[in-house]
Amino acid sequence: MRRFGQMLAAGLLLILMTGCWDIDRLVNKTIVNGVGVDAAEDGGMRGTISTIKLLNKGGGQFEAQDVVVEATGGSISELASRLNNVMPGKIEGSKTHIIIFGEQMAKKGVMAPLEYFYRNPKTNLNSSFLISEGQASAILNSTKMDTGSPIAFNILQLIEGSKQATISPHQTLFSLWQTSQEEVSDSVIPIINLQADGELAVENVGLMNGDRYSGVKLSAEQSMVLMLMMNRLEKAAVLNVGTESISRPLTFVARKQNNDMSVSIDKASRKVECKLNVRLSGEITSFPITKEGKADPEALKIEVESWLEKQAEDVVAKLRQANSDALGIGRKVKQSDFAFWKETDWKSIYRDVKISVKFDVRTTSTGALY
Amino acid sequence: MTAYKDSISKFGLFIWMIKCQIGIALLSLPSVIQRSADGDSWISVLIAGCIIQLLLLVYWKLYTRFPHLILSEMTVKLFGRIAGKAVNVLSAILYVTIAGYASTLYIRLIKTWLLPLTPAPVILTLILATVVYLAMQSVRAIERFLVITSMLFIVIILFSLMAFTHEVDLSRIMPVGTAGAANIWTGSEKTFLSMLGFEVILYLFARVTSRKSNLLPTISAANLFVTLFYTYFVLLCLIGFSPKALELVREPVLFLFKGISLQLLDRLDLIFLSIWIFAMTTVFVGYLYMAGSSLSGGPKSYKRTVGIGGAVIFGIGYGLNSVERIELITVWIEKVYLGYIIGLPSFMLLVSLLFKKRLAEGTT
Repeated sequence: MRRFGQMLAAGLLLILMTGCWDIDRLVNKTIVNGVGVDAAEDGGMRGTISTIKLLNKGGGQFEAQDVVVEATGGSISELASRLNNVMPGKIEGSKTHIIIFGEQMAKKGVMAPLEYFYRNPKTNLNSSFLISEGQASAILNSTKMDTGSPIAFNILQLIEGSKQATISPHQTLFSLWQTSQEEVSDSVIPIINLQADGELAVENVGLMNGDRYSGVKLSAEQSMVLMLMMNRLEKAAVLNVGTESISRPLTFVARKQNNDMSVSIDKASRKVECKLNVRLSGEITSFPITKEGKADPEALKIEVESWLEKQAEDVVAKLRQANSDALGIGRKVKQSDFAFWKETDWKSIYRDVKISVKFDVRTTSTGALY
Repeated sequence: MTAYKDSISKFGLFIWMIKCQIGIALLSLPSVIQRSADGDSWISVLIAGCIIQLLLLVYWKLYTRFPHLILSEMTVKLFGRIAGKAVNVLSAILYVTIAGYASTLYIRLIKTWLLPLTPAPVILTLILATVVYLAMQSVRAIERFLVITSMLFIVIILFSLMAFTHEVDLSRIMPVGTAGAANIWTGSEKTFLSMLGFEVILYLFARVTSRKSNLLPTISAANLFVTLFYTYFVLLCLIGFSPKALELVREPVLFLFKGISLQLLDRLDLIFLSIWIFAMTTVFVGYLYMAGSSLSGGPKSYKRTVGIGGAVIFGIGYGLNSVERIELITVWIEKVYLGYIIGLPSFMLLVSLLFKKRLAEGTT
């Protein structure tokens, strides 16, 4: 009898005590998978969310359809409650895969609006962060890319693709937060744009200065070179070097890299000099056969190097213009001379840092042809 | 001589000690020390480990003087019946208070991360019912449970390796030693407070079966394990977070896992927390065991004391939970408790050394 009483008590406890208060039914929720934030004219913000509606096509088949809703407000939290009133079901942000900030909004600083995502234990810090050329709402509303899957997933694949191609880093809310809080380096954010024909593309990056978008964008080639300078080579980087004339294409694919950055600090004049050595090895995948018969790896190597160094110069100029320490020179300075770092306002002297970049290219193969 | 005839193995002592030391405090420790010791927090942890080792030497010395007695019996022997009992009552009150404080932290953590709407008394009941039930068992039964759950440490360490999928940056702890000795010391003090729980060995020494063998290596090994475990997690947070971000986060160890996503698993922080609940819960068992052993003379009164202790923890936990600025109170609890676990055994050792002869008669 006593045993029975114990079992009954245990059973009742299990049934009655588990999850009563915190129960959340999936059917009562609207799962958000993409968020866009734009600056509104009145100084507030306009938020756009994309959610999925499942359409039953019969026979157990479902079709996911995007539903895009907008609202305006002063903060993300206010946007969330406004949107909650518009949408059927409670908005659930824990499955947000992408967060897009419009250019104008990003220029005002991203940390203050994003704070909501960091404080709330339920959110997904693994969401990818992007800046859009123009309005973020236009990106989420674009319907051209009709692959049958929701737009947020398409964009996610674009980001992954451009990361694999060494064009942009994959910025998540977590990594963005870390870098923005630290003074030793600045973030580089992938930029998504809506092209004239209505297609979406992630093919270049924008430079951040602290938690603000500087407005400086790099071209696709420059983005790739910057990634190489940052030691972020993924599987391969396809460098189309000779694109000036159609008759002489030259393509170098970098496969491996090894970077070496050193800083020298002159304390008297408070001048910092940074030397960056990028060693790449890879293969020539395209070069026309000339009269001499075969490609001369030595000559091509020099050509690739000088092209890279020319691009690097432009990149450095843009880094200066944006006052963005994407290379993390500050980190190096802090490591090598902590006393100097402590008494220096890094951002105020960053523009005067002399940055010299040298590329060292090794061609390991020229493909099936000599 | 001991009230409970049960005994534990040497390995049991090792597990008991680490299970009582590793608990809720580790989750927030990295950000707490970061505020004072900055990139050198990991040194603070190592120093705290060394201080604990010194204290363990005192405990061990005390034990060799009274190899058959647990702390509450030693007090009676040393201070006489009335004064000894008074000290024991005081000890029990302290243990229960500390456990009550820990339960408040527990509720806050669970409410923030897992169950925001579930009322505090319900969470408390669910934890304490299990804990009291377990603490009423024999030390050997508890030991078995602890050994089984300590396997979860392996899972936790495996989990933590995934944190390296973030961009970890070793340069965040470089250059070493920039925080300054004073700041590192302040960090050690804070670490020391979160590594409490080793005092349980004072109630376990006498219960170890292999009396003849030396127990000092066992407790030192446990201390080494705990110190390295703590250092590892603090280092992980130091290189995984930027310093400013680390200061802002309440539970950096959980936060670190929140940013990780694998192909199959999402929200590793919640999975980690579900495993960690075991570690947090067993700490209460340790305190209830100490409180119960302090006050009781036999198995029956032990069970009753543990039951009452559980009820008191419930009361303190619930009471503190509704206090708005808990730090104002708890800072005092911590200080008193710290004075107790350092002061009492040291004083007792001193007394026993001074009045060597009389005590030698008493123990035989």
